[in-house]
Amino acid sequence: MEQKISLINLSGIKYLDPEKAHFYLKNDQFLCLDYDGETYENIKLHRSIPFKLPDDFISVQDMDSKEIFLIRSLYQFTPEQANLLGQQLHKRYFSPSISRIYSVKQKMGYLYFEVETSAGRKVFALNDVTRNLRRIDDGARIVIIDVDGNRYIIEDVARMLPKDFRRIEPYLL
Amino acid sequence: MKNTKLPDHIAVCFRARGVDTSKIVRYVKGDMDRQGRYVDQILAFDDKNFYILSGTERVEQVKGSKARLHVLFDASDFVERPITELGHLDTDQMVATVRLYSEKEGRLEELALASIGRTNAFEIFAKHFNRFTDNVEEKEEGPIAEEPDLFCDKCGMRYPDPNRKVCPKCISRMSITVRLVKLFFKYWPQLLMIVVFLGLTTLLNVVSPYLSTALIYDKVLAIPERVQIGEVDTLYFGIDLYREVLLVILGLLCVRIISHGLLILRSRYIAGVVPRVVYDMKMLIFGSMQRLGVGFYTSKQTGSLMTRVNGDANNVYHFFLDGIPYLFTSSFTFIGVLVIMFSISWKLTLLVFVSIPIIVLGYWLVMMFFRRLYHANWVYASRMHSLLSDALYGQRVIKAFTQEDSETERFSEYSTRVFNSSTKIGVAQNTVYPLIGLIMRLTSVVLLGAGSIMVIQGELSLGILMTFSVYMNMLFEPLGFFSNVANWWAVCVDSAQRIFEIIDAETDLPEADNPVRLDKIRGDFEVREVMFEYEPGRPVVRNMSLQVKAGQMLGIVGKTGAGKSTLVNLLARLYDPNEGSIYLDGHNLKDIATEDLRKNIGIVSQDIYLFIGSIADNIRYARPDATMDEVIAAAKTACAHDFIVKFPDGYETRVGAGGQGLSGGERQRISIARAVIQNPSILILDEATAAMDTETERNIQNSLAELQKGRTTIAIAHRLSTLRDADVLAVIDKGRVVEYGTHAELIQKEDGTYRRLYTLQMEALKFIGIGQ
Repeated sequence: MEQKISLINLSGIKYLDPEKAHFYLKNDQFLCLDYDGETYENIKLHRSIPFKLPDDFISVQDMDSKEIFLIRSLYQFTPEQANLLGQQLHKRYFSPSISRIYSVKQKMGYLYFEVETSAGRKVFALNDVTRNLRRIDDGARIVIIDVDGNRYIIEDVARMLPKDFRRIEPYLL
Repeated sequence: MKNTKLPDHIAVCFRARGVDTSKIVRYVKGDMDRQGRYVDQILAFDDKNFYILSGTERVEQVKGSKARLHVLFDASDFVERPITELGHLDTDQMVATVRLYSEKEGRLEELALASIGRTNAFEIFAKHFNRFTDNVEEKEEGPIAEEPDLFCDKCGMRYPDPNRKVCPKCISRMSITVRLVKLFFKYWPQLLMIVVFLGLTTLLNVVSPYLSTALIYDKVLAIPERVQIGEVDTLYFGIDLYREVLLVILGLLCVRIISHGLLILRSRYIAGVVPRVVYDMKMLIFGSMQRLGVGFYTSKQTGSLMTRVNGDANNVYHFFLDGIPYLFTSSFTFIGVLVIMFSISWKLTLLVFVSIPIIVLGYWLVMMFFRRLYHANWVYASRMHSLLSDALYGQRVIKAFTQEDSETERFSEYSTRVFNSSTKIGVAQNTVYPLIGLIMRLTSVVLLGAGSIMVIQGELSLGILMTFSVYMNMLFEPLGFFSNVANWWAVCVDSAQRIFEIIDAETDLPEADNPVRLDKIRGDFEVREVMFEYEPGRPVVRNMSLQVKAGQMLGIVGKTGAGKSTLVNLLARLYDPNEGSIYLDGHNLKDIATEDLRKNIGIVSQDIYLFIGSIADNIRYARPDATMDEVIAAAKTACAHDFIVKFPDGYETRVGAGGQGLSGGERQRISIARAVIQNPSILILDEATAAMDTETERNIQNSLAELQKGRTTIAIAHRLSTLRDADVLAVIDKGRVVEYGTHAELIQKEDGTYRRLYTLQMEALKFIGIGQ
């Protein structure tokens, strides 16, 4: 009987085998990978599904931004390796979480936020609310993207202070 | 902004650490430490050292002065490194951050981390550092673009739109209002007329209650009583009572007729003025938009621009032609009625004053409450409309994947949200407004009671009480208007700001002060060290140099996203390079008169747009005076004639939105005909024949080959056979020219990209039995 080739085989995706991989930092800052006897220097990690599955489907790319492997999940690695990869992703996808919203002011079509984040206090401006203030995970989380492209996350809408939520409520879709 | 001299508050910190700030060559501001915490950082270098100062920059008010501010820097960390320890600096743009690193003898070292918005600044800083350490003079490599001044002087906030140095946070509403008033000043006679009409109507409205109540009750109908007390004689009463009634009724009728006549006149007048003002506003916005470069449109959503032309223009005129006249008349009515009420009975008027604050507060709360409800409704309705337009445009795909039910479900979901929010508004409106009405009615009842007591006690006549009651109701009307006028004004100013943003936007392709006029262009192109990026930090064309001689054909080859289309956009001056220059016939493109340049360049782009109109109109778009003979000749050259004449309406077939459906290849051929009829000196073909079969492509090429004689042609193609006639070929990869030469030269290169691509394509053609 003719057997159908699976789509995954057909696509040529190379899932990384955690058993064969060893990630490490060169000069404390540049990520390298030893894999099956090969060394890949200054590699880059990209999240395929950054909001919903930030720790799954991580694309490992070489210096020319070409994918060499796809990591199925960070949970497949030892805690040390997962921690190293997590730190690198955190740095690359720097998106501080917002713990307080002190003020939201609308001025001439722009929204001005003053917030407390996990990285410190921040004032930023937002353009085009419909695109840049997004509810994800069925509204449980909110992603805010400012005029510079910086991302901020409200991790749990249900746990926001009511007065903070009221400040952004009119702008939520 | 040249970052060469440290600001005083930062220089102080450097000097305190023994740095001679006069020797600082360059500095740049960062915004986080390497652990990803927000801090203010200053990176700087002089002839010996590289410095990183970290701390917090803060703005404080000068003691004793409300207006003056001064900036302070509280330093927390300072790093000093000899520049000899560092190699070349470069940036590594990550998804949301950018890092500055040094590379020396293959060793990479991260120096600083910053948020993504600092990418451009870091890149510029790195270039200056590298030039300084390499001892490269500016004249050798040309100037480095300076970082645009992106931060507001007053509040330090980043300008939301880097092309427009306006800080919405600091801009005063009053200054916008002044500009609006200036914009509307030319309509002052019309505005004055509307105010006069409204004023007269209001005056009559204020007078009529007196005629309909006090005069008829107290002067006419009370005549029998006045006879009894001897105020009017019996003879007069017997003969003229009916005449008095008739006179008052006639007077009332006159007032009503004049009032309604004025109302009709005013409405007719407004009906004439409004379209004029709306036309002027929309033309002003549309005209300003046409002035702007392509860059403006890529940074804005079409929907938002459409809203500006339509919605914002309406908001502004609505306030000026409706809001302002009503503000005058409402104020006039309010003050006039109040004066009359005071003159009738100050005691009762004071009683009315008790309810006024409650009503005003009620209206204000209602406005705040409804604003949120309306906003939510607007958001849901917008999403529903987007979904609707998405589904209508995507009908083919929906049907192909049998997703009709899921789309209906999706639409139902959004539609339900609109339904629910509309119901909420309806229920709220029908609860809140009657409640405010109830407060008014209660006030009336209380007043009637108090007034009746005063009538019994002889302090008031019945007619006067009735008149007072009518005036009181008239007083409530402007209150609703006053409660909302501030909100209305805010909406108008917001809209005006968005309109001014377009009117004031400076084109990113400015015309030179004394542009070079070129009637006839030869077509010698030289691209010199060009760098271009659509978004800061993401260069699409890097350090590119190439030459095309007049009359030559340049073929551009490269992978998708290599920067080919961007290069032709730069050659046609749809964008200006960020660095380097492009020369045409020895003149910098920026110096050539735009009109001459456009007239001499014909572009067939891969994004074909056909305007609503006939095929003939679309072909002669660039030359509306072209004869029908020329239109047909152009279509024939582009191999479009044969399919056009097959349509029942031939060249008069309507195309564009809602018109005849055309295939990709047919649209491309019309677009080629459009370029051909322009008879340009330079022809740019960006994947012009990609959607055609090989035979049609060959036919077009043969026709175009004739046309190309004596013209410079720049052609982009994935299919290398398209470029078989090219005199010279440029292979582009990641924004750089990696190979440049004739076909014969490039095919000789053993590991060359062109040779590899060519071999691959030839093998593919052989496989399907087309190649030799």
